[in-house]
Amino acid sequence: MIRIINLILFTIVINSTAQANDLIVGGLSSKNISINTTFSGSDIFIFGSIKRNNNKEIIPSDIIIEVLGPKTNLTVRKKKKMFGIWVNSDPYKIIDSPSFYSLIYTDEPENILSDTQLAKTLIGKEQFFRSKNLQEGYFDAVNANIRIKSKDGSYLFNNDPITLKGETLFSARVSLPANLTEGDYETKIHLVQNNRIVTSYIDFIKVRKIGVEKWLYNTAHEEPLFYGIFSIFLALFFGWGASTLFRRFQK
Amino acid sequence: MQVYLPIAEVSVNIFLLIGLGTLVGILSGMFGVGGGFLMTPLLFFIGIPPAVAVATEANQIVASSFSGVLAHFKRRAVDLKMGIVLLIGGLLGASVGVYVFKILKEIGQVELLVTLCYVVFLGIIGSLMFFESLSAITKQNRPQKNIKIKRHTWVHRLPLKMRFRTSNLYISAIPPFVIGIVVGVLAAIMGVGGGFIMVPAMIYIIGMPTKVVIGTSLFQIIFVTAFTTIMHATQNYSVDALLAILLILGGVFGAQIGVRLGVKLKAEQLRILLSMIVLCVCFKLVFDLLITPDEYYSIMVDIQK
Repeated sequence: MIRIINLILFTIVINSTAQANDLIVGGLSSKNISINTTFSGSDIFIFGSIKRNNNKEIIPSDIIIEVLGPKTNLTVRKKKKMFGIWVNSDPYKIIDSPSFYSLIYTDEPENILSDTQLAKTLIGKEQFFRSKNLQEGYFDAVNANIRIKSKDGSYLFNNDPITLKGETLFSARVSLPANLTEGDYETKIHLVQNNRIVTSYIDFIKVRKIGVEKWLYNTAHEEPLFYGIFSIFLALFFGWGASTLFRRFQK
Repeated sequence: MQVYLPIAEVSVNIFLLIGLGTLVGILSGMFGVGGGFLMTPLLFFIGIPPAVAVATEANQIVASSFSGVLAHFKRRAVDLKMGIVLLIGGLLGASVGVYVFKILKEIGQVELLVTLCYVVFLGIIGSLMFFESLSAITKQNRPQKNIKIKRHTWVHRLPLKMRFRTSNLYISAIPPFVIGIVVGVLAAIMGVGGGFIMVPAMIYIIGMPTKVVIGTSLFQIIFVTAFTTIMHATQNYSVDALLAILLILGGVFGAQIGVRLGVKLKAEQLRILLSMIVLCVCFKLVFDLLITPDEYYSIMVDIQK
């Protein structure tokens, strides 16, 4: 517990609307994630407390935490049966889809936020359906994206609920999967009172490839010709080296 | 222990990859085949994206053919002139193959193309080998008929004749050139060396003496697969060097075991075993095409420039 407290990076978000409102103080167990060759996912702990500035009464509060990975454009394809076999058809383009999304809450956003707040903040699955794409079957494709990414751990919908202690202290866990996209992961902690978000604490988790992993990936995409030639010599070296070693070992 | 493959962008157990390399290495050592045609589908089965599996396998074949080529050069069992004609065709074929691959990748049909190619080739070769070795086993006691290779076929009426001293042949350059093209296309699309097509074609169509066939085909394979690796790296960014190294390490180890195991088994038994493995992989691919998928949708992240 002392370790966790030590790890807390106290940041006070100044609320612009009123001075006497409650605030949120939050922290992350780690702000940097390094993807190396043995990376197999990582757990991030998010914690903090509600700073009560309103001394007259304790307003019932809820917490919603969102973690959003870098946005990418996707092509979603549906398989159809043609000549007896299953073949890809109908591509759908999804623009700016988060590569990772985690939503954790003390209560369902639909229960604790007003409809206007939900429409404005796009918390939860709402944000995936904001596109005005009218292509037939587009929303099925968006649903398929949510389904597939939920299965592989890229989209998490309240898998590990928030624990709220004494109406003030809270902590939550986000399990980042192995197949992370490089970039800044926006972490938002929302304080909900009286059906609206009164304040939000925002921080970023930096996800970076490092070492061999980074070098191979960058070279393959930035210097593909060099990378191709390099791969051949690397393969020759390892093939030749391993068989030489093996023969010597047998003698 | 999980290893994160930088280009395939999947996390796979390192021992599974080395084990797979070893398994295919054992088979290739036992049967004297390249093993690319088994490794690529096995990589699909463990979840490596097909585009990465094909390109990386081409890279692995460069390494696995290298020591073979050197050994054959030492024994002067390489027809360099024939090899170069086959190679020119191979480079042309590989260029076309990678181009087709790139287009189909963009429209999301590359997986289908690769799978269908595998079903066709594994199906034909597996069943031919199976029935041939089955009849060889049942007719073991009867005297074998000598198969006569026709010395004068349509091949000898083609123009552009060249002299190939090492093979002791004076034939048209067109058949080896065309064979080279076919093998090049297969290397680019299927991630195979193509020895299983090229070797019979060199013996039965070109009429080359068997002692130079393996060396000459390996000579062509090493350059065509190296070229294919570079083409895939520059066009599709799909060569995973780390994956290739792990497969090579397993492969080298497996090949040594395979050679020792192979000596203990009879040729017909070996062939019938190999044909059964080939047919199993083929049936699995067909099965995956036919059964109703659990998930109708697939997602691809667009490459951002």
